[in-house]
Amino acid sequence: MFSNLKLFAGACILTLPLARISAQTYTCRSATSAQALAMQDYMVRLVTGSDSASVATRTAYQLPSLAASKVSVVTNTNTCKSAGTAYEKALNPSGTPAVSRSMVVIQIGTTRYGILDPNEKNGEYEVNMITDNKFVVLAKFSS
Amino acid sequence: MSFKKPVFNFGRVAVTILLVSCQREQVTGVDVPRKAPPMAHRDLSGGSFPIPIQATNAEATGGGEIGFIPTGIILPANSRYVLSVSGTVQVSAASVPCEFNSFGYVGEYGPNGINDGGFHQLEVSVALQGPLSTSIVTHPTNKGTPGPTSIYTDTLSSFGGGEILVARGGIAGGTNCGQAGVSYPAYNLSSSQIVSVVLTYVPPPPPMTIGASTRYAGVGDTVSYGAGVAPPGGSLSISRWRWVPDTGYSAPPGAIEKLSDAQCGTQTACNHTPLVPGTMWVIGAVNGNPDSASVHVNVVPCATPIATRDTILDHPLVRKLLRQAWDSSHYTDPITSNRRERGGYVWRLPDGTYQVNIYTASGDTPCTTAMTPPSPFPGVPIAAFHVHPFKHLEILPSNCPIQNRNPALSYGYDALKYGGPSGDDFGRLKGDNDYFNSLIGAPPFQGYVMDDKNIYRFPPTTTTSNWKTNVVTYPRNDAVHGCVRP
Repeated sequence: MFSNLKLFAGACILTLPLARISAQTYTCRSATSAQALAMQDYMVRLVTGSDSASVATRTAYQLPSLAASKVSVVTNTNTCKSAGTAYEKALNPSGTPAVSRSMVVIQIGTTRYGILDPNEKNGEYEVNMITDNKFVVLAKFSS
Repeated sequence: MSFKKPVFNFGRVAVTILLVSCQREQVTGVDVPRKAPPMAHRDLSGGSFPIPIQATNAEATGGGEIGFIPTGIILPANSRYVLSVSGTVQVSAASVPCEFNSFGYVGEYGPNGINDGGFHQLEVSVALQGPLSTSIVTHPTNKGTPGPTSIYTDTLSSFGGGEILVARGGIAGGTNCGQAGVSYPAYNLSSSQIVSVVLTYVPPPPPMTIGASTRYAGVGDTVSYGAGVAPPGGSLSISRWRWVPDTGYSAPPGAIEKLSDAQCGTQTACNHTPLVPGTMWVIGAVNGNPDSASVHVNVVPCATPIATRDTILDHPLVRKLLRQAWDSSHYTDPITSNRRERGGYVWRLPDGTYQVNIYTASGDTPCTTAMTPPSPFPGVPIAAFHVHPFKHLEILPSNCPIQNRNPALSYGYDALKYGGPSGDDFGRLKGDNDYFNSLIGAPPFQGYVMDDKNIYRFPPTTTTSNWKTNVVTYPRNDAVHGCVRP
């Protein structure tokens, strides 16, 4: 009985961290949320803009020049999960416990994503990321 | 900038103040009210006047009578004064004596004269001749003591003001003296009598006033001034107008003062085009009393349009402290980790003037500032401000706090996404509004955020649903007007 208790306690110790890690989720905010609309609007301005500031920013963020119709808010569960994983990985050092996030994911043409967790702050700034279509982070900016 | 919780917690605040008080620094600017120069000294001396005398009391002279004559002593309206009549009249040997020698009044007499059965001969009377009427202000009978050395004094009010008049009665020489061809004798008269006035109170004249069409002008705007008297009714005369620029300001290159103060001459109105902040003086007199009045006009190189004028941002003191906040952020330091977000508040003091404070703390970072004002607050907050010491796309330094941040990562500052302040900037402002409202009942106030390109303003009417569209942007390097804010 005593040895069984010891075994049970050891199992708890081993399984608790695993449970915490597996509990995190990455979901996408709705296409009509204020944060999603703001991010979509900004991505549209960057990929369609011809003024010097937009062009310089587009270049810095490695974004293509596109029509506005090619920019859309993503709500697909799998894409959101992949985007969240990439965001988490880029944000934190290896081994940092992941946290659940409610993301804004913007698809930009067929080659780029814009990702944001509005709850993640760098001081008073939001932390935005641009990835390629394999969720490799290309640029990060705070707004 | 970290969000300040709107819920007030006494314990937390007390501890915060205790901790921060050792680390906080404060840069203060105060809007010093300008005082008018002291009024010119008013003459309180009054004056004196020797009462003339006729040579004799011959019949043709009315017994030596002196009717009311002006003394030249002017009393202002509603003044108070001490009136004195001193000296004597001497009645001496008759040049035309009475043969029965029954005259009996040779002697020396004071202001009360001679009380002879109800006839007050040689009595001095004083009157005040005002703008509309003349009134006897004193009659020495029953006041002073009759006699050769008596002095009459009284304290009086002038009411409508005017000039002191003085008179002295004559003295009859006698009747039926039996002198052939002469009805009356004539005795010799002489006098050392003086009427004198010492003013003890002169009310101030209605003060000169000056009004300006605006207190916040842009460079080259025409400001119209008018001089007046309050309350109305005083006589106003202008000797000159004088514009005195504030020190420490210089006009924008090429700006010309189209209308100068000198061309206003002695008119009661003046138009002027200031180039820098300053004070317009009007110098003249009210009711003949020298006086002056002044009004200060703030002049900013990039005034916002008249219709949407921002009296806080246009205030020179606010701009000066905004500039200090910007400069003290080390925004040009190539080591971006040395930069610091700076911020503070504009306070309205009880006398209506402004005070601007920048609050710094040792825990401030390039991306955050605590901006904690010490208690008690100097006034009511009317604006909050802070700076973002980065250019667009500049990499934020590693000492910008981010939870669980990977030190190897770097983030660019993006000023385009929100076109200025972010939702968190508004969140901070809203938190500040709630905080001060809960503590001192302060009404909603506005917020300013400044980066290297623009100054952004959240009007007090901003809400969580309209913050993005409600932001007003003022370019710091205004290509349209060729000037720089702040």
